Amino acid sequence: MGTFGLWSAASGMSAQQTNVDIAANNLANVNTVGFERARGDFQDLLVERLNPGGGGLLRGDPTLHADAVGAGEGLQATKLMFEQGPLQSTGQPTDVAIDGQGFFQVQQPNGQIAYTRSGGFHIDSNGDVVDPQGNHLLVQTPAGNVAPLNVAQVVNGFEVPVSDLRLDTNGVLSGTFPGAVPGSAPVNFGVLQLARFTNPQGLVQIGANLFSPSGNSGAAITGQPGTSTQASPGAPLLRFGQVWQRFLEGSNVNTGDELAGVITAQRSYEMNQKSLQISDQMWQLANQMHQ
Amino acid sequence: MIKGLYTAASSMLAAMRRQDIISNNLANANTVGFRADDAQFKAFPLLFLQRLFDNNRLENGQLLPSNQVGGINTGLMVDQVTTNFQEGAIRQTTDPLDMAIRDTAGPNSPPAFFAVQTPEGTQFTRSGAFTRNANGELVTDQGFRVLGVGGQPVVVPDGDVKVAANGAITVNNVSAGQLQIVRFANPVALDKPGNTLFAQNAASGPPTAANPADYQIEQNALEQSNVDPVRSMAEMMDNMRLYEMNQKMVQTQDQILNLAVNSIAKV
Repeated sequence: MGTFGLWSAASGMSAQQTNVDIAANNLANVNTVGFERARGDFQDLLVERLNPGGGGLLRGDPTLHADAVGAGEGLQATKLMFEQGPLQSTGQPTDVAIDGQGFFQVQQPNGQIAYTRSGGFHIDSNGDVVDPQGNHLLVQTPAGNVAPLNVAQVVNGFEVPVSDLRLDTNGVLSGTFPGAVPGSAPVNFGVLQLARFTNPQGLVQIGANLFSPSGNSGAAITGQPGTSTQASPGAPLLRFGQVWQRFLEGSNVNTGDELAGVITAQRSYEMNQKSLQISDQMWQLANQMHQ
Repeated sequence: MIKGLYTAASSMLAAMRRQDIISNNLANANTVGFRADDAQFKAFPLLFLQRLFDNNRLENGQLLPSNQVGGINTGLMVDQVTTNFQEGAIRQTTDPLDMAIRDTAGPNSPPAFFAVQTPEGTQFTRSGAFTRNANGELVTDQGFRVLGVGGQPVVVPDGDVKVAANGAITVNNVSAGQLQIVRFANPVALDKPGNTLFAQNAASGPPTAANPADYQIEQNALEQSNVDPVRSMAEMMDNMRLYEMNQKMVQTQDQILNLAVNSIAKV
């Protein structure tokens, strides 16, 4: 007894510290393309029964509550908030933004598939379309299989990339190579595949804007942009968003909300610090009783 | 004299217990759906003092009124910890799975709760910060399933989720079930096992379905803690002074005893 006050206050302080950490990370990424803000969800900690079962008390006996003291506050979950960020025009043909829900599928160097909302791609020296970390963007090829997107053709042993890459809002990729006969049909590179999850908040963040599925998120459900799918007849439609070439999705962090959160957390931290001090003073007074 | 020492000490213990509770409230001033606790003090049972060794102590086996000195209280203790179910402020959010209950039956009506399936059986909460699990079921942050009417989990597929005021959920205009909203005859007696959950017991009575006219579910909203930080800080200061006064009482009585033991005999 008595020390609970100290620990409740200390747990409150560390919870508010975590809140500030989360807000700081959100604010640091206010300009990061495709960044999804996080939110800390807090819960009161388990109530301690100081005298369990003592004196033959029944559950629901009001006197039982005299021995029940909460033990403070703790972080329960950090929740990723997958809200649409603003679309910003960039003019870059390899920049793609998703308007709606869904993730790009990218293949990591180790072969594993990961998911991202960040569409700032570029064409590397092999003609592969990759993200800044070198992960390959996956598409459904005209042959029907899912493979990394390559937009180059070999001419005299050199990889010559496509000169004008085009992507329509339904994800169809096409382009023409330098020196093609004017008026000839563009080359079809396939269709972009988007992925959706039953519980996107269960995704595990594995790096810069990169997510990996977990048992909690469910398996990826893939489809073409602009289409929808149904788990069973009568079930709600699962829509895949549309894709916009030459746009990037901005961060979904709202500076005002984050700053308000930081101020609340700071004041809350101060209150907890005060209650810690008072609990400490009580102990000090108890220790000074005999002089 | 020794009795006074214990009276003051018992007040210090009660004040310390109250500090624990206020401290916990303040730590949860930002916890969604948290309900503040309040310590109720009570005096130790009244003792009646009477004169001893009085020749006329008894008359027909009864105490004579003249032998009774009067009543004396011998201390203070925390009688019970009660939970304050006053509604907290509602904050707007952007997550469609955030829900808040607004009680619309008047200021003193019993509060409505969401029902949640926990390993300890069905428990109840005011915190509507929900999410989905891998099966698409609506769950709390701890992963406990939120129950619909009939006691079944509510499956909410990804999509355009809309929650009506009565708790009916639709996804892309297809019905996805209805939340179970309950209330209790005596909510103050509910057990509080932590994690902003409440558990029923014999004194609280069983949960009954709340009348849809008495509550409104608000989507994209979370009910904040009902801790009043200013009041809690004032209570803490007040409590601290009570503690301090009693500490002084202990010291004073110790000094008096010191004089009685060490000085009177010297004369």
